[in-house]
Amino acid sequence: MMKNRLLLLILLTMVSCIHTKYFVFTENELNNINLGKCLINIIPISKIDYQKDSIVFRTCNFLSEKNASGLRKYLNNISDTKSKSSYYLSNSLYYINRCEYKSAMENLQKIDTTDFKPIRELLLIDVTYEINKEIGVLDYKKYLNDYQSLIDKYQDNEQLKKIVAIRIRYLRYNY
Amino acid sequence: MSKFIKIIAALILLASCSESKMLENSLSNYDASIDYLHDSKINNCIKKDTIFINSLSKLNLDTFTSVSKINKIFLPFIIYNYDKINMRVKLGQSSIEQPYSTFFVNSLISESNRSACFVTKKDKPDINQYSLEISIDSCKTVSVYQRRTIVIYYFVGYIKGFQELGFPAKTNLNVNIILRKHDKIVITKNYNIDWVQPFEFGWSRDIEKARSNFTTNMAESLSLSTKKCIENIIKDLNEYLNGSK
Repeated sequence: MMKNRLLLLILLTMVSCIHTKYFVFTENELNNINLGKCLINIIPISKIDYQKDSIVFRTCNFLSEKNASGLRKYLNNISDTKSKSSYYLSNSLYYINRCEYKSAMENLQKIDTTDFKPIRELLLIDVTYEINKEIGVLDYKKYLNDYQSLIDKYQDNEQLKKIVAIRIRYLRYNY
Repeated sequence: MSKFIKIIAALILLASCSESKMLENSLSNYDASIDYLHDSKINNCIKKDTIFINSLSKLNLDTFTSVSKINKIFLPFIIYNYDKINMRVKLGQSSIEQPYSTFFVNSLISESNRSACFVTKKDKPDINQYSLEISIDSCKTVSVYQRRTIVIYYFVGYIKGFQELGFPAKTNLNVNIILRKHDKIVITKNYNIDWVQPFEFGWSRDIEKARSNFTTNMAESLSLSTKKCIENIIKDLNEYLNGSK
């Protein structure tokens, strides 16, 4: 039942956001996906970030409901300045969903370097690649090295390795 | 009538031969990287031994990618023609970005820097050091490429449509290694890797993209089979050197 819901979620998300190349998944949702046979670029949100951070929680819910306008309104109304990193991460997820990579980069760079590891570092590489791709600069070796450094930094994170392996396929085929 | 049929048959044969040549020329415009992600755990063991590696003593890989016809179906109806041709493609060095021999040795050294309990160097060894000789007896990646063409004739002209499709790439990589110390052979081992890389893309009318993806798929198959082979070599060398203490 859960797998059917997940498949429907993926299909609905892909239909509604035709140009979106990156899809947000929480840790629970990722446990139900066979990453070895997956072909989409996954943005993993850890259980801790999802459950304890209300801004990230609401952002994931808006994205899963494909409600980008609702997410935009919600983020515009945030006055809580305590969770700045959460706000900037959520903003960057919004812009990545809209394929507005320059705006996503501006927000990613404002996230505190000690917060949201390794997702921040993963998204920085992704967004850098997308920005350069838009201007026709594609360097497979450079991004392979960047992703290699990332998984070497978080060696014990097996899920990250599988997610990055899918990114490498994305680089190879430039789709 | 029979002369007419013979002429038609000869024209079809000529067209299909030229189709494989056309595909061969076209595929020569694409090349793909075989660099891969190293996902093995970094081993922090003490590296007491050094193994020297030179270039490959043998590499059996074609210089150019080659295409040959497998079969062809041609259905010439009055207002509708259907033509399907299957071609066998064998990957050559010309479709790979980096020289395979250099890539193999460099990848072996990179992998050993991560997961080996020995140091690897590219140099002429001292007689007291270990030296590793590598020969690649088979480095074959093959796949099938299909093209189908439909022509519909109507009163004032015709409509022509075509699509192309790649099939899974299959790699057979057969590698022999000889480890020597004091010029004596201490290990010889053969690694035979068979790898199938699925082709994830369907029929395409974008010929350039279809052929680019097809070449990339074959290169990916070779890349991942090489990765598996190298990881196996490092694992066996680790076991030998740890066991010989």
